[in-house]
Amino acid sequence: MAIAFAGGVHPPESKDSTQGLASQDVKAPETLVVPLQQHLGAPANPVVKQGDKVSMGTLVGEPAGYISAAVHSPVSGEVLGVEMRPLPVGRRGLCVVIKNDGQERWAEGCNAESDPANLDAKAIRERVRAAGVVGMGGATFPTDVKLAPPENKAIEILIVNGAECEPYLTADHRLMLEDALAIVLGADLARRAAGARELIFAVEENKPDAFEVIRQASAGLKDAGTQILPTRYPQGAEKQLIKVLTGREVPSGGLPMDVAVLVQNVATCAAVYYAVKFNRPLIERIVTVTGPCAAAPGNFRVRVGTPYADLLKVVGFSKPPRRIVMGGPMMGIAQSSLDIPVTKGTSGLVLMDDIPADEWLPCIRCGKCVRACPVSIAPNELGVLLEFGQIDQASTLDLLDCIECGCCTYVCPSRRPIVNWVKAGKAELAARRARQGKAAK
Amino acid sequence: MTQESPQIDASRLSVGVSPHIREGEDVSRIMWTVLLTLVPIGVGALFLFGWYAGVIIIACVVSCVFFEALWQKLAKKPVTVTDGSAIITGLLLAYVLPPNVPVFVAVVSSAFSIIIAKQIFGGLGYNVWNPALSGRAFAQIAYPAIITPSAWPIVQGSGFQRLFQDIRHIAPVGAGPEGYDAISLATPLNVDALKTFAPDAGGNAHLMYPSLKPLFIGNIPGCIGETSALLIILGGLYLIYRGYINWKVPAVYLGTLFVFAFFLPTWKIAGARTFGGLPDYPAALDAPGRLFFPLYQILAGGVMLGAFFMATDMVTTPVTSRGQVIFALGCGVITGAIRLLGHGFPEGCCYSILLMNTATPLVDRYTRPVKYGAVKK
Repeated sequence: MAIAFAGGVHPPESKDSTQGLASQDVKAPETLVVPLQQHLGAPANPVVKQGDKVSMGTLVGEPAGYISAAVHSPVSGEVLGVEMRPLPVGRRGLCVVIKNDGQERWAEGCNAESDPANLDAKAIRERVRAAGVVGMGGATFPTDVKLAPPENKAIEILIVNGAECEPYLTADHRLMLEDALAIVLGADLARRAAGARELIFAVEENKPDAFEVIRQASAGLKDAGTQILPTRYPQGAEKQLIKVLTGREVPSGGLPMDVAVLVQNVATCAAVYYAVKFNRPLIERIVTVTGPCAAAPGNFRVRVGTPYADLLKVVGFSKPPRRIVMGGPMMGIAQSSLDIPVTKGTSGLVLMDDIPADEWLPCIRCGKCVRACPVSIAPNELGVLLEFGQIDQASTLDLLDCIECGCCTYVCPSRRPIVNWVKAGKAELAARRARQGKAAK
Repeated sequence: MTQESPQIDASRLSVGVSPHIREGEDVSRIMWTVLLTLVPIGVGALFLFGWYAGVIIIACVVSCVFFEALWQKLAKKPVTVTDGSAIITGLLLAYVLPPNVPVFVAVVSSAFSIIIAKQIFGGLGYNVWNPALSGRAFAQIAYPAIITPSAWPIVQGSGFQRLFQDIRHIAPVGAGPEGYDAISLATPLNVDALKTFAPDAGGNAHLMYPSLKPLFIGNIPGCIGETSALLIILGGLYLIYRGYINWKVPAVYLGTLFVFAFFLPTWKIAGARTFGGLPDYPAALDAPGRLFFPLYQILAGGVMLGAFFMATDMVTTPVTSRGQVIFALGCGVITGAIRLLGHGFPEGCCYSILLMNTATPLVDRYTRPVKYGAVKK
């Protein structure tokens, strides 16, 4: 039986309005904005220019280095330009703007079925890399890199993460119900690529139907099990999931591979399946659009590069949202424009009405954050130090162990934006180290 | 189902940081709930000690709020008296002052509580010592004659009060002074006052303690809000139910003192000697007496109020449950040591909590949870 991770919170799940609705296809819009950076690592280098004809799956950006990912055209049409456009992460970045010709024509060699039975690990990883697959749970780390652990780090267990612990989001839930076989077969391919022996499919207990579907779909697989997890945020966070399923703790500052475990999101596994079996690049994903201001909330199969405005036309507003969050409400990012496009990491758009006030009070040391912290650090002390700019002291106090899940800030009766301070503190620390590195050279 | 194009002005979208939802608990709700649980104790004090107790309560609350606002105005800081914390300090300070204290003592002690103990350190959240207890300790040092227990009024008079008046004979202690026919308890914890004798039919004097019933209900001499264990426990249970205080704190604090008091007479009987010697105890205690003495210790004096409302103060006590248990244990031991091993003070609750407040950062440091991943690579 799964053991519990420390801390955590249980916010209202708010999934009822979308979890029962089948995902709908959203017609690709007339103009798409495809960011060259939809992943962690270096932005892809553009390989197209204004006026180039592209098809679905045409490479438009090639990986710039090992930790980077390929980017493909989600539609057939013509490149209008390669321009700086606003990105979901709150800054601008280079994007390939494509005019859709509506032909829905695949590029040559794409969307062609082949039998992956004889592929070795390296060949699977090459196809994953060529298809530009990245972690679709939100972290967007290039999947092929994750599937290629260094030689001294053998992987034993691949965990397939179907926890979807963020409130509001149901995209993974729908995918598990609607495309379980792709998840299961993709997970099996990923296991082969990583050289792992065991597969664990993990689903939170608020999705019993998805659990059952995955259990049946994976029944024929060797060394594969299905685990039900308590509904508790952040159950789906990599380190918490590993602890709960294997009892192992990723060492501070380490990676899951240090305990011979790898975690892949369910949607990533499905993307691996389509990449390897059908040579289909990652150009589409399921996005939950929901929230108190959504007129017709639901799950939508959306082309990467679709501006929010086009997607929101389909959903409509019941009232004007005061905030639009990309991702879930616990860790998602507030969006400043409707011109920002859906990317490979866009699990949802939450149209919020009530938003937290910006004012905060001093810490009254109630200890709620300490009890809620899933990595068992002292958010109260970090918060006080960072509020007054004591970054050095904060860094000796586990600043870098914070997973930024937001539990401390969620429960804080003084409404202290602890996570925000932590993010700023980490950024400042990184900048300082970069400066020191330069000075040393 | 295509609908009309969304008519929103994207430039007005709020772009605050995650998380975008909050649990809904806030500081003023915590403060006002604590206040609510303190009100019955104050109302009870009016019944037990009369209208003048109300004057002291009002004097403390009004002065605490006044001094907080005054300080914040002078320091050009936002005035935050509506958060309720100064009102709580005022109420708690009044509750640990004697019911016959002059108003000026209440006012000066309030000023000490708010300005010296709280605002000097940075205000709400940054104070090291419990402000109300700091004010009480100040009063005890600055006005010892007024705060001395023997100066406190004796509970007597109204029919309501007589309803609960009850005296318990504990142990015969030999012949007492002639002519005693009444009890003059100063405070249950003033050891000298406990040496009160009453003759029985055979002419033997008896050491007198109040029985547990008035101790529980509060019809005994003492500070304004400390005497009614009943009302304190009711308020405390509600705070535990709401999750604002850790039940382990009063349990461990009172439990430690209980154990301390339970075993101490045994040492005394066995001829054990501690520093400074021991005050007199009802030595030859029979079985019910053995339970009576520790129960008497946790019901009398300020320890009940301290255990539920002071040792649980969020700001000045450790943040983890483990740390809070250590804190409570320390309070119990220090209270026991001051009360039962010492000669100077009859009451140890106030100083035990202030001393443990001092130790709180240290306790916090050594009870920090083991972080995830604190293992060898």
